[in-house]
Amino acid sequence: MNFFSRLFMLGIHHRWSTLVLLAVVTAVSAAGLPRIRVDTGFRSLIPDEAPGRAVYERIVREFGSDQKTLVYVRDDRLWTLDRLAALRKLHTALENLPFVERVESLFTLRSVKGTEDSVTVQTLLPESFTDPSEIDRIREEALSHPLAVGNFLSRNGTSTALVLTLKETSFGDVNSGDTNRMLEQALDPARSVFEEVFQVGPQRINEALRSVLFQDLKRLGPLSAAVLVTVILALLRSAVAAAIPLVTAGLSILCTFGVMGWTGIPLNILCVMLPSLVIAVGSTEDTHMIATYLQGLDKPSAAGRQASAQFMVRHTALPLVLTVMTTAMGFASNIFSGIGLIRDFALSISFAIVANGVITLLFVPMALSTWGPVRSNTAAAAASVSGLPGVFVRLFRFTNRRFPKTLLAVTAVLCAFFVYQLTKLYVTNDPLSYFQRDFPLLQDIRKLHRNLSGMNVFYVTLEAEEENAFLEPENLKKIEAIQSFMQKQGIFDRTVSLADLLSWVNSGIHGGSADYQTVPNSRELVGQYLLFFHRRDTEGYISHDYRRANIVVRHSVSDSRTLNRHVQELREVAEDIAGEGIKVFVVGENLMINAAADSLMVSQLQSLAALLVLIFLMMSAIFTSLKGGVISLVPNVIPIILMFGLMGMLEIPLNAGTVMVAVITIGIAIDGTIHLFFRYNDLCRRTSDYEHAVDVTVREEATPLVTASLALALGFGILLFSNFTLVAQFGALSAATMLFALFANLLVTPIIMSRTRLVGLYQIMTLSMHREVLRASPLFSGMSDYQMRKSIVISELNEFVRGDLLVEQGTRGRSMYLILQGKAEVRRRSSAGSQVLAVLGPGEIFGEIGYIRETLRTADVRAVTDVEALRFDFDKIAKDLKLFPYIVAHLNLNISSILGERLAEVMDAMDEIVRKPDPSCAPADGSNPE
Amino acid sequence: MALMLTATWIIPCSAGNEDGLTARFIMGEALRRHELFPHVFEEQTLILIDRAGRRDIREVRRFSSRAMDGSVRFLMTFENPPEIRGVAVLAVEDARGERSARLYLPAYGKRLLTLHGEGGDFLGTDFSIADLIPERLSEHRYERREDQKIGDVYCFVVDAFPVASETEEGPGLGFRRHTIRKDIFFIIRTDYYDRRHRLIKTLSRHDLKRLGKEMWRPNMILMKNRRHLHQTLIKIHRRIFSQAYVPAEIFTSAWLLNNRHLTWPDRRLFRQTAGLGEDSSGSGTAQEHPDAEPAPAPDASAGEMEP
Repeated sequence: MNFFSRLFMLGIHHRWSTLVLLAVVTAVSAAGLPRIRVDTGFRSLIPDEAPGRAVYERIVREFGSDQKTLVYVRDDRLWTLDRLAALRKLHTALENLPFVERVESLFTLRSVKGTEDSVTVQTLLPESFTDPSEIDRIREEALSHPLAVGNFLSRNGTSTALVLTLKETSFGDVNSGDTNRMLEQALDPARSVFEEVFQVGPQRINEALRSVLFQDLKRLGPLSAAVLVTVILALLRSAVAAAIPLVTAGLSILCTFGVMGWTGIPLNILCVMLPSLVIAVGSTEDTHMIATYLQGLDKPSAAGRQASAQFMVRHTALPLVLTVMTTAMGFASNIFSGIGLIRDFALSISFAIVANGVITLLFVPMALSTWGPVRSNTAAAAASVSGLPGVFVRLFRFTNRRFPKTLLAVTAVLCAFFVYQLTKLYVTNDPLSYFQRDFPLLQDIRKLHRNLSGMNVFYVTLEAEEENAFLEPENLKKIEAIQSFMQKQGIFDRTVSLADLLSWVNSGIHGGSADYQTVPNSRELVGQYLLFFHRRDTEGYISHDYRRANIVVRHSVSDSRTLNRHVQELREVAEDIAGEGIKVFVVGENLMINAAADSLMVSQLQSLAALLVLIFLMMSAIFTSLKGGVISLVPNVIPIILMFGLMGMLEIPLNAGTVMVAVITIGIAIDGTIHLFFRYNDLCRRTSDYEHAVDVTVREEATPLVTASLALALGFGILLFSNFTLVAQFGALSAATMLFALFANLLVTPIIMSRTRLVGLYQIMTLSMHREVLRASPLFSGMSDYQMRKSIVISELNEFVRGDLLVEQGTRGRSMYLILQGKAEVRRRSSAGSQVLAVLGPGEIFGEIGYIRETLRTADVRAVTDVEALRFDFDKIAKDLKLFPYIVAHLNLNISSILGERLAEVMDAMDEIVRKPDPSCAPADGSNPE
Repeated sequence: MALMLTATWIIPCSAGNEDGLTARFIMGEALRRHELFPHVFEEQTLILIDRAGRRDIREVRRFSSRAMDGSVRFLMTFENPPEIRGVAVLAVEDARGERSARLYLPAYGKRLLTLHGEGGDFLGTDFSIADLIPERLSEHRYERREDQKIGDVYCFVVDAFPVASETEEGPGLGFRRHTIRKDIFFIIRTDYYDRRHRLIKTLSRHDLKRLGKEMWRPNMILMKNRRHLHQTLIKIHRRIFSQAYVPAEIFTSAWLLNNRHLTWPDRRLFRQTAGLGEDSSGSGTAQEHPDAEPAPAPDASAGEMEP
């Protein structure tokens, strides 16, 4: 019994202690629950080492935050006395909010109007209207004001926006709830006056994310549990079998959230998947274990709860540990992501998976040995494998017998097609894409974009080397040129800069002439026009020393690919326009978030590659065969290719959720592969008929694999009910990948396996224990360690119990056996009865005559004690050692020596018989007859 | 804030009436002593300070002239920075109190533009034109509030309500609250409230210098805009009370359009009047002030000033 088996037995032999331990650990962990914090902020979407972050923070400190909140007001009768008064009141109320740094609206817009001998400088909207007829005039002026339309006023004049710049400290997720609430309260009076009023900004988005997060948490976990129970009841037909995974998952989830509270790992939107993932993933192991337990009930040697539980432990301990490790590794590979959202989720889910493994290790054996069913309802079904598992078994047999190569070819073509499709993949990291399309917040944002401008803001900042550089018309024209280019790009809604303010003044003071709608042509005139502005009018567009100029850009682009491409183009053109001596920075929080999309892809590819290498190394080590490592990857890479190809075909983007599907599903799908390989290898130790071993493997593993895959697919499929699109996409893709993995594991992999013999680590470890026996054996006499190992690797380790017939007299066989441990009796049967010819021990061989020359076996060989023996098959050695003829020659020489010795012994025995006189032939007088 | 103000209104104006002085008398005395000198020339530095503490510095010259009929002429010319050198604002308040202002932008062209608009932030400062011209008693209604003690200094408190805007509603300038030193009848602080009685800005006067028997002038004036978190600091470097520095022709369009203001006052005038009337350090005496004498009084400012 191996170490892990002994560990698993703890739950069986120390049931109450195990229960108490579990209860205490769970209680201590759960005490951390009240400390848990929620993080729905956007900062977690930006990599820690985001390039340009320091520059961004410097620019934001200078020109104010790019995180704007927009209050949208629409009313067909907006331009009436009472509506304008109410709007003014709203403006003032917003200004008075403690977290608001600045409010810009129609009321802060300046009007500069000139005639030949006068200039009127005032705010566009006066403090109060003395004459209602003024309103129409001002409305017309506002509609022709270049800074108003698109910024603060819609083209039809019925919608207006108030742009709030919040103080930096307002964006922490702790405060966003209060900020949002106070904003909404400030809008309430206006809602009773205007036809439509709403606000959009970071605080509302945060609150929406938070609210949806909790809705999902309350819904998805219970749904997953219900589906799990239904599937297990249907397939395993045991209430206890359905309850156990719920208990292990429940304890794991509780512990995980508690530990998150203790350690400060925040709950984020990806964590809504956590309960469903734990239930789905944890249930696969529980299902395997329970299915094995139920198989144990059918075995006479393992009847009864405790015995069946022990049977289960012996057969599932090591695979369980391996699958927990690989699954946790799959999730944990995301811990090194630079994006906090993914990293925090990876930490929490990895812990949850490991916790689930430990809890399973302790709880399941204990529960089954105490409360497990005493009869298996699946025995009959297992014998014939009906239902969906049966379909897979029959399909496998059909394809393996008739069209194995065709199936492999079809699979290869399918993969090639999907590889082509995956070239269409694109990445997006826009947080607004997390919401469903009809979410009220998105509807409001779209409305805002339609009537005014998008709510996303970024800055194009130009920095000169000297002060007052942007008093020079030449440099102001560069700003104009950059804005003109952005207009041509056609994806940004609105830009505003110092150049706009100055050209508008220039035009205004010249009676509104369009000829003067350009920056002034002298530094002095620029400086003198700037006297019309208060610093608050210009602080968002120019530094106080006129060394840095800022273009504020508003847009509503949500596709990272499009935005990144256009921003890159903008950067290049702006640098070209700015020329020597002026640096250009294009910065914004939403830019950093979208730019992280590329790093998302790169880091996930790295994680995927690392995970594949890790699995390859692990499986190669387990089977001491690189071939084994490669083969184990096949059923895991196929589903990934199909999944990515599907994404490309359906234009599902790679985002913070879907980008993790590959690594997570590999970590889970390898579970099925490990079970398959272990079972196959186990069977190969007892039979040389690999085809039969594969057939039995598929038949025995079909039910748990299908059950587990279905449960996983359904469990992931539950995530489709999430309100977050990235979670729903993750769920759908993971469910599909589980089904692809089932196809690969039960149809493709067995075909490859049946043509491969793998040596397990277990076997090598066993052989190392018999090193001295092997060295002393005449079969390896004169051979180097290398030659010996090479010969052993292609042999099979067979185990026999006392009384087993290893070789039967009169049968044909080309196998030779080398006893490692135990004793075997060679007995020849004849008409006169049977006679023991020899008792063989460790290091001795038998069956060598049949190995050398195909002939009938000359005697029975039966195990007197439990026996471990290496089996050498002539055909296999001839095939596998084709490239090592000297090893084959040495083996044959040693066998010849052994045969020669046997012959010499036989001759000596015959001589002995001849020398002994036959009492029936002796002379009567006692003389020697010769 | 509204409650406080209401409470102060409820307290009858008898508060402080123990001395029998009315609000109007107090204001009149304050204006008479300190604001009504006929000819004043000042060299000033305007420092505009934004919410982050960053500063814009402008050098200006200010000329004011008060006629016997009560009309006031006021000229401000910009010396620095170079791009605004020569910009001038000419404001006139006639005997009836009608105010007009004209603006000269040299780079725009040779014309004086009549300046219209509410002027709440005159040429980028936190002052309006009205803030720079002494108020007219006839245009206001005054109410006395409870006296205050600031530090060791006792002060009158007078609310001034512009008569013309009293019937208007909604936002906009409501009233001003003056805090006036009792000992010298000097307005050391003025708080500006809008019609909803919210404090918009505060003007405070610092570094007071006695320039005559009764006249005091501040060498620093600070306007804090509480709504926009912006400040304007005026530092007076040189102050001369002399008609020679403020001749009538400087208030004409010809003077400005010919850019004569760029070189006025010229160096000859400075040499002629050197030592006779400068108040560049606060220790000199006004050239034409009849009650010129040294100024021994301590400087009780209106409170702390922002750096």
